Amino acid sequence: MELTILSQSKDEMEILVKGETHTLMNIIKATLLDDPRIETAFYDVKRLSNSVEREPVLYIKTMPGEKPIEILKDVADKIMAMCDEFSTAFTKAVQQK
Amino acid sequence: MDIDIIELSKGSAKFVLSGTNPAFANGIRRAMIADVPTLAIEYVNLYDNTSVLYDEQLGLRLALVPLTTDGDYVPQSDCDCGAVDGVGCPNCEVSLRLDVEGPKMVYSGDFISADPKVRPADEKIPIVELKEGQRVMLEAIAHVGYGRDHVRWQAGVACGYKHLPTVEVEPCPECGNVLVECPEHAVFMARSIENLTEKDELKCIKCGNVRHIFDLTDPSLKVTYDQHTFVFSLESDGSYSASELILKAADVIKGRAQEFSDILKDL
Repeated sequence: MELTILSQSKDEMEILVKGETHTLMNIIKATLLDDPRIETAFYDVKRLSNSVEREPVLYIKTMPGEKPIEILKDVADKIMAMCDEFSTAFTKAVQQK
Repeated sequence: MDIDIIELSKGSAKFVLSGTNPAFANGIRRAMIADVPTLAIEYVNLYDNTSVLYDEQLGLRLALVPLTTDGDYVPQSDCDCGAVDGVGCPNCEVSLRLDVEGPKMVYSGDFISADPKVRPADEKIPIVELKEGQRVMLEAIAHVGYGRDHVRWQAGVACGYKHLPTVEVEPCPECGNVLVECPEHAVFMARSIENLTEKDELKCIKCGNVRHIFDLTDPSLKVTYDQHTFVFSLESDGSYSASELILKAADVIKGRAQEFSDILKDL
C-alpha cells in the first residue's frame, strides 16, 4: 500500500491509496460517513494520467475546524476494532454451537 | 455486532451477521474470495508425460487441485529468500511428486508431498486416465498466492450474503382470509391465516415472484429487508476449514487497516 496526498486544504483532502481495492476502500468510506465530523466522503477507482493501472482515490471534506488526516486515523482504528469484534463474535458463536 | 451460526461444517458455513453495515459485510465476502492466501501448484517440472493430455492441459488440471494450507508458508513476494524466476526456499514453496504408470486412473491422492501438512484437500479428484504403457512423472511446485491473481488460489467459493427478509402477512379485513403463495414453496403457502404454518424467513430467496402475482400495494403481504442484518453462506475449497476461512478474512481486513494506519502516521 502506498499513500499519496493529491491535494490538501484546511478541511479537504484527496488521497491516492495505491494497491488497494474496493474491499478496504468501501469500508473506509462507509465508516467515514458514519462520523459526525465528516461533511462528505467518497472514493473512485480511476485511472490517473501517466498510469495504466486503476487506483482508488479517496476524497474527504470535513466539518469546519476538523483535520481530515486525524479522522482517517480514527477510522482505521475503528475498522480494526470492527474486525476484532467480528472475530470474537464468530469464535463465541462457534463455541456455543 | 452479533453472529448466529445456522450451519457449520468443515467445508461450508451459513450464519447470520447482524448489527453492521453493508460495506463491512461486503468486505468480508470479498476478502474470502480474493484476499485469503492459499497454496496451489504454480510450476510443474515434467519428466515424462505420455498420457493423452498435453503438458499444458495437465498443468492446468494440477493447478486447480486445492491444497490444504498451513499458515507457515509466505507468498514469494514477501519471502526473505528473494525468490528469482519462481525458485524459492522451503518457507515459500512446497514440492509435490507424482509418478504413476498405466493402466490407472490418476487421482489427486496419488501426489507425494514433501510436507505432510500440505496435501490435496480431496483425495478423489480425477486428473487423467492412463492406458497400458502410459506414464506421468513430474514434480509440481506449490506457491502461496491470492484469489485476485488466479482462481487456483481462491479459498472461498460460492461466498455470498443477502439481507435478512422480513415477511409479514395480514388477513383481509373483509373476509379474514389470506391468499399468499410463495412460488418457491419455501417460505409460506397458505390460503387462510390458520394454515400459515411454515414461515421460515431464512429460506426466502428474494425471487420477487410474489410481486408479479400480487399487487405490492396489497396490504396483506409485506416483504422488507433488514439493511443491517446479513445471511451469509459460503463454501471453502478445502484449503482451510470454513470457520478458519471466515476468521482469516477478518484478519486480512484488519491487517490492511493496520497498514493504512501505520502509513498515515508517517505521512
